[in-house]
Amino acid sequence: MEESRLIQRASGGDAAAFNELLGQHERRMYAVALRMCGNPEDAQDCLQEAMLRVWRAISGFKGQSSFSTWVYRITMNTCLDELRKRKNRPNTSLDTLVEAGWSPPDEGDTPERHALRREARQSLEGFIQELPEDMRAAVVLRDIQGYAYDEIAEILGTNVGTIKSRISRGREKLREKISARSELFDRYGV
Amino acid sequence: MICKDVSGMLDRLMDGELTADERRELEAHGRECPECAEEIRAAFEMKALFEEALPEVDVPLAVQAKWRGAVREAAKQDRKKKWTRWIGSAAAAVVVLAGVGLALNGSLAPKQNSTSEKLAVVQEAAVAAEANEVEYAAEAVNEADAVAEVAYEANAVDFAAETADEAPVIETDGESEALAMGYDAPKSVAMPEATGEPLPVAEAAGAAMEMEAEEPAMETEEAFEEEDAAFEDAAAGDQAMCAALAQQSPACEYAIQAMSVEVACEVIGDLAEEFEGSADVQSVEGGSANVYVELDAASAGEFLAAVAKLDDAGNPAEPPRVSGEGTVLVLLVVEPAEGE
Repeated sequence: MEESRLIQRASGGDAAAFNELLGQHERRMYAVALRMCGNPEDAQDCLQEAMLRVWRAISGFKGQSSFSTWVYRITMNTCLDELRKRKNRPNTSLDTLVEAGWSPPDEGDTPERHALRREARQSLEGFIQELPEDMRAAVVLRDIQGYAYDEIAEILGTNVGTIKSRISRGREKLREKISARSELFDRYGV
Repeated sequence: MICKDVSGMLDRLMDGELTADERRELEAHGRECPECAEEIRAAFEMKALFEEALPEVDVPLAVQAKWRGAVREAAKQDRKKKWTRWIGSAAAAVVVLAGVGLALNGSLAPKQNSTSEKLAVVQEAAVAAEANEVEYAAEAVNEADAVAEVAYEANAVDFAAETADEAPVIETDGESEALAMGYDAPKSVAMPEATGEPLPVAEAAGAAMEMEAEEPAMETEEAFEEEDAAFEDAAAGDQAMCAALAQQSPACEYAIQAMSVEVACEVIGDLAEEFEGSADVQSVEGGSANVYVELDAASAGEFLAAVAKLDDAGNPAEPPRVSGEGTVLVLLVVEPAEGE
């Protein structure tokens, strides 16, 4: 069934339609939650919470933005709420982020290269976790999820200029950290 | 510090917008300029890495089942709530009709011949029925209300259990806080009051449907605005503090020029947060802005260096030195840059 029909039925209280509709978005929502929260347990809690928030709100969705943008907005807000709650207790699991969130290694890689690549990925995930939340949100949405600048502005509820600045500074911070661990990334090369 | 245009080119590289020529230019520059070389290399490596990061991640089956189950359960509770409210108001209506019917049928009244006497009895019975019906309706209303409340609370408890005690510190009243959290503010279900006047069924049905419509869906566009407003209220608290500080003299003043004063101010706000300070923006005549930033003296140097980078006119003044210990107040003046 196509999206608008599913939205209509979900708005009317049809849980099966809702589950089908959100089933199309859950993997992307989870990818975002993983990188915002830094570990699978918190990410799963956020996913659960976000789904319920979407359920409660869906009858009010008026189609002023795209459905996906709207769902991402709720997902982000849920993650940011969670992060604000546990401000002083960061809890990362870089291992899992790399296991789950990266394309499988090349068949042709030597074990040594495979290990180096894994370490480089883990380091980058760690650096992303070290970014302040607002910056992390913008970089994740742009460089991992591939959203356009104006969509990101809509998702995060601010203007495009601010988003560009956050992404630019976020990338700069990541570059600085990568440069400082260049031995890891050097061999990876381009 | 890297060369001026390189940062912009690195962003375009990440966004996949670099032409082949520009890419060669970048690589060539990296060979010539040791300061940029590291950043350029880091950018290429970061880009290659990001291309391997997945934008979609498989959700464990147990987690999938859990949210789907929770949604189905929520849907069930919603239906129950709707039905119970309906029953409540319809029951009240039915009882009222029954009461009136009894009075009119006169089954309670002894057989009388005189019309006026009959009338008197009917009137008496009607009054009695009304009195009874008011009581009964009130009871039915309360019961329905209670059932609905329980079902609603059970729902709300599931969702709010973990966060009830750990709500983010937002200084708003309870309802906006709940809104900010994205939850329905727990509220008692409004029932049509038993007024003692017979409610035709149609009217009761109308009332029941009205109540359903009334329940605001959370996170509508308005709710987003309310959520934003709640956060702004918190920010307003910070601003009030900053405004009070503005009565004091700033430890130093620093001016920059920006193509967009608004954006520069937002970025300064972000920077202030990064350095664990707070910023209060006040706009001034002629499109400039004064930004009062309160932060720790130890961080002020780095903070001002970062602000200097925001200057668009190409030749920012050297930021002032900030000495001393503890919290300081810095005044940043952001002026619109001349057009080119």
